[in-house]
Amino acid sequence: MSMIISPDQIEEGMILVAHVKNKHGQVLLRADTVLTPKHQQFLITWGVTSIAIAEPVQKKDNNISSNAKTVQEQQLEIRLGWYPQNMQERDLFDMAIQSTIEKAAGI
Amino acid sequence: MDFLNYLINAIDTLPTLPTIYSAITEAMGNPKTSADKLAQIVSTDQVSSIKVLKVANSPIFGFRGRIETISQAVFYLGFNEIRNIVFALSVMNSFSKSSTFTKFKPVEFWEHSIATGITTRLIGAGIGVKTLENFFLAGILHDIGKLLFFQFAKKDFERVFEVMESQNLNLLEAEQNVFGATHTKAGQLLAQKWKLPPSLENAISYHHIGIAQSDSDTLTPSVYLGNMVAKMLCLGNAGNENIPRPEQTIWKKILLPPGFFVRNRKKLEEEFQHTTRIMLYE
Repeated sequence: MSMIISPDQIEEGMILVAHVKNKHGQVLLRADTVLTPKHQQFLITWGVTSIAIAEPVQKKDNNISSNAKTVQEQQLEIRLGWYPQNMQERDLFDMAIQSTIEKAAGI
Repeated sequence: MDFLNYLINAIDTLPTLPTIYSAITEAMGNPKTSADKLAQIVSTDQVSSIKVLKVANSPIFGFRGRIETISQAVFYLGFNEIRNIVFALSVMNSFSKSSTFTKFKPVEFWEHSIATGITTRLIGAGIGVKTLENFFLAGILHDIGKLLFFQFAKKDFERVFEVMESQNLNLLEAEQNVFGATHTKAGQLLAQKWKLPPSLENAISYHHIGIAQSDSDTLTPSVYLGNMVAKMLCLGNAGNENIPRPEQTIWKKILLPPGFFVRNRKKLEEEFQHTTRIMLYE
């Protein structure tokens, strides 16, 4: 899920989900850029009024009880027969767990 | 005659791909073919052109709802992507969707293939691949060998699933046991018969290994991961729910930004809903 914010709301580590373009369609910042205070400064200088960022994962996790997450994680480990041992595998697991929890909750 | 020879002969009995596909391929072989000419060829088949327009407008390609004519579709997506869409739709029509057995249902199979295609393309974009034309098609075709088993050796294919359970084997082992060949090998034969480009043939042949023969190939490892993600999210079902831990060499080939799958999951599921509706149910 993405959300629209103004450049002055940028916090370090936020991730762009859509290119930021100027009025000529030239890409100023690419999607997937991890934003820093320097980017924020540029965007304000360039007169950009809004950007689309990924909804912080942490925020979503707060909506999902840690108990539900633990249960789903255990079930996934049983289903797959392995558990995540690096950052990329953790990403795959979190993706599947969030999907299962949201489907169960009818989101 | 061994099973693979039987299969090679049986492939000849598959319905030929529609004339529109051959016409597009022929036109693309001519360097003088213009975008208008290609649009004209696609438009001669009204049913195909409506579907092509719908797929071209699907969120996968990023032009949602903005392409109104085949000419625009050719302009925005390019010759190869249009040919690939026509090809994918043609292949999906070449195989029967009605007959099923408990462990294998063609409609669920195509759902899995579409999910793999969408994810493969998303991964390609995520690692910065510039020419993504074959990524969606490779995902659509990766398991095509299973459909050959289903179409031409249904009883034995049903036995594959029984052997999997009774002997606790994975799908490839059970296929080898029953047919003396795997669906990746069967798919490779079909790819050769259809004269698909080597990158697609590799993706079909090696999608369970993840690494093709060429170091520069990012398509095969993308399909490998796309297949895995589709299974993890339970998008469709290709009859094999086994998801082994990823080969660690994959992560050296596929350098995705941190949190890529969590961030793109919702988008992926939405694109899946949209595209399966267009390609399978409308």
